Amino acid sequence: MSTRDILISTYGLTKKFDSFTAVNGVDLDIYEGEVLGLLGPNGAGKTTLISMLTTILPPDGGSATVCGYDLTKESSKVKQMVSLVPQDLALYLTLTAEENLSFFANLYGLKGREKRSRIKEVLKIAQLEDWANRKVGAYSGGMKRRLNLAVGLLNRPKVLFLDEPTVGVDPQSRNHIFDSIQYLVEEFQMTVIYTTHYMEEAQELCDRVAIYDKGKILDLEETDTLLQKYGEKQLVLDFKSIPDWLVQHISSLPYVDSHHVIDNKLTIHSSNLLGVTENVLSWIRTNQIPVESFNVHESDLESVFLKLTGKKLRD
Amino acid sequence: MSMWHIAKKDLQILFRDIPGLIYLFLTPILVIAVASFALGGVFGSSPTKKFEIPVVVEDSGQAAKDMVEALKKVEALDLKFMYEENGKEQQMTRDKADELVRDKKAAIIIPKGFSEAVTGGKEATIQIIQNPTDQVIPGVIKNVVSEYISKLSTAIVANQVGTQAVQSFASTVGQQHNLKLDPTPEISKIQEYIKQYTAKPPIKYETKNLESKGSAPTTFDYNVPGYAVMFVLLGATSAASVLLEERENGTLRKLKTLPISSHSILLGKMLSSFITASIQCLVLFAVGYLGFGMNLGGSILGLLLMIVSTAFAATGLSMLLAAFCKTRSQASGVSILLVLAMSALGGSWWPLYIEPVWMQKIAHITLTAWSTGGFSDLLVYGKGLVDILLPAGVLLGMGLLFLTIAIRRFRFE
Repeated sequence: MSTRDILISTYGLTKKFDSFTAVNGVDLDIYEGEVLGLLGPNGAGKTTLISMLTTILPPDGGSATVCGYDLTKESSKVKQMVSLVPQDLALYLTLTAEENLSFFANLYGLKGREKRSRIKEVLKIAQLEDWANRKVGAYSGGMKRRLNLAVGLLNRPKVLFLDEPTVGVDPQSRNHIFDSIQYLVEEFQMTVIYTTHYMEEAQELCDRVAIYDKGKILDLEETDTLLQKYGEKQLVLDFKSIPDWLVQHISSLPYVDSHHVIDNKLTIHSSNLLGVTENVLSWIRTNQIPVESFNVHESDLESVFLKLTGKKLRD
Repeated sequence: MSMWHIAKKDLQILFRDIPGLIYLFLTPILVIAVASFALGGVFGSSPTKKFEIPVVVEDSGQAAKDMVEALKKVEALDLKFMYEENGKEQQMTRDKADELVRDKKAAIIIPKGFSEAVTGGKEATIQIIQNPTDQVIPGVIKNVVSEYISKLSTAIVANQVGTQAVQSFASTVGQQHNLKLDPTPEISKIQEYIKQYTAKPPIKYETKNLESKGSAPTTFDYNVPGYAVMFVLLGATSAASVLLEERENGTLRKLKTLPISSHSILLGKMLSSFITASIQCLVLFAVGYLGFGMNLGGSILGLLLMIVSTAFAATGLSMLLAAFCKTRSQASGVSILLVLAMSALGGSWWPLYIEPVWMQKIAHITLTAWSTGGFSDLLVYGKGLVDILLPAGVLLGMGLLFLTIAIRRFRFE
């Protein structure tokens, strides 16, 4: 990875809103052609970080280069190189897809045949050719998301920022967005920065993942490395109901490193999965506690996040 | 109980909606207050507004003096019997009254021979010179004069009819010497006299229009500019909501990532608002002209300049609103408050000169006053391009100031 060209470098990048520090001295290198996941909960500062890298917000401290251009001094050149697919649907609902694309293409300075062919190209990527002349207001949520992505591809950016692009999207459109990203990386060697709070998406799509919370990158590694470094296998017990005393007893058993409860599922993290499984099952059998099911799970980015921040992604 | 919870929740939401509260309470209070102050001198008993009216008294008889006394008792009139020239007070003359009517809108002339005609039972006439560009002040004068005339005429008619009836009766009695009297012919005579006098009352007023260029203005000439300015402002200020909507739904944020400057984005927004406001204004004037025979004045260039400068100032105001309001609903509430208050104060709904002097001064901080004033100069008073350079210049200046502040103040996030 490190042999590839660095497209984005940040040094102590900082953004404050009054007394609140949204981005707190971020140092980051992003390589050409990689898909970098920025994984963090809502309010972690992910959108503020990419707002600075796409020149929407000026940094209050630190510096950054994007495709070799200084972020603040050469922002107009940076704008030519990057594109943002925002979390909000930046579309005009009373215009057709083609009219929307034509508007944004004009602002990118595209003209004539080049403009027409670029619009056709992105409509094809978004699989919206048949809907090109329909008003966007009539589209489904997933189709709007795809058009939102298509707008972001009009200038054939070297760096594509995708800010939570799958929020409110049906599984079919989500898969289409994933396929499109993979196509763009393979076909155009596009660099993609993908913010999400869905760990499954980061795990499936990203080459490297930055665990991001409270305006800071806690760690940045390839996904597998992160899982090896911080991941713990988990024992998941499903109860009909789960009173507090039961959780307290089980969490005090030997080899239980940490635990969390979602609905009636108790997830136990341990570095000694065999030991903890023996202890927990033995205690349950002795006390005749009814269990619906139990499973052993592989470690995932959720557990990595939990380990690094002490809280769950959706907290 | 559920009903109460639902009502309580709705009221909680309402009282947290500041723009909604502004629209619900502050806007009507402000508009009613402005309207009441403005029209206090016309409809109310308030002595705040008096119309200065030149009065030419050419007759020195008793009836003329009585007429003057009656006019003096009218609170709404500030009668001017003298005028100042070369530092000297001069008696009001017909020529001077003609000249003053351009500003004062009406003048009263009591001609020579008025008293003699009244006492002799002949027809006496009071003349009212009116400026055809105004309907309010000449209307007030006509009402006052006709009310007095009506009283005077009734008294004279009664006097004449009674006298002649008695004379006729005495003559009849003398001829017939104690014979049984049949009053029918006398009653018929009295009725005939009354008919004769009421058909042709002994005192009347006649109005004379001040000579002006072109045809006399119609109500459309008065109303179209005022209401056009108001609706152009309403239309333009809605552009503020559209801009804030773009901020709320994220399209402005997306535009910020494109290779265009922030100024280009705002100026583009401004341009669409300006074009819309100009077209709206043009359409309203075209409909007034083609559909209702409205007069377009003597200077089409001047009219176009006023339309452009009004649209520019309105656009500037809308951008200013967008810069200071945080949400769409806030912009919507504040714009309605501003537009209605400015329309009431600035002469969209009635002529500015009927407002008290202090209000007329305040009114000129609004763009409405400059705009309606400029349009009235062109369409109603028949003035030309040179005469509207000041209002047009002020409007363009206001637009530029508003835009400069808006561009500095506007936040894309």
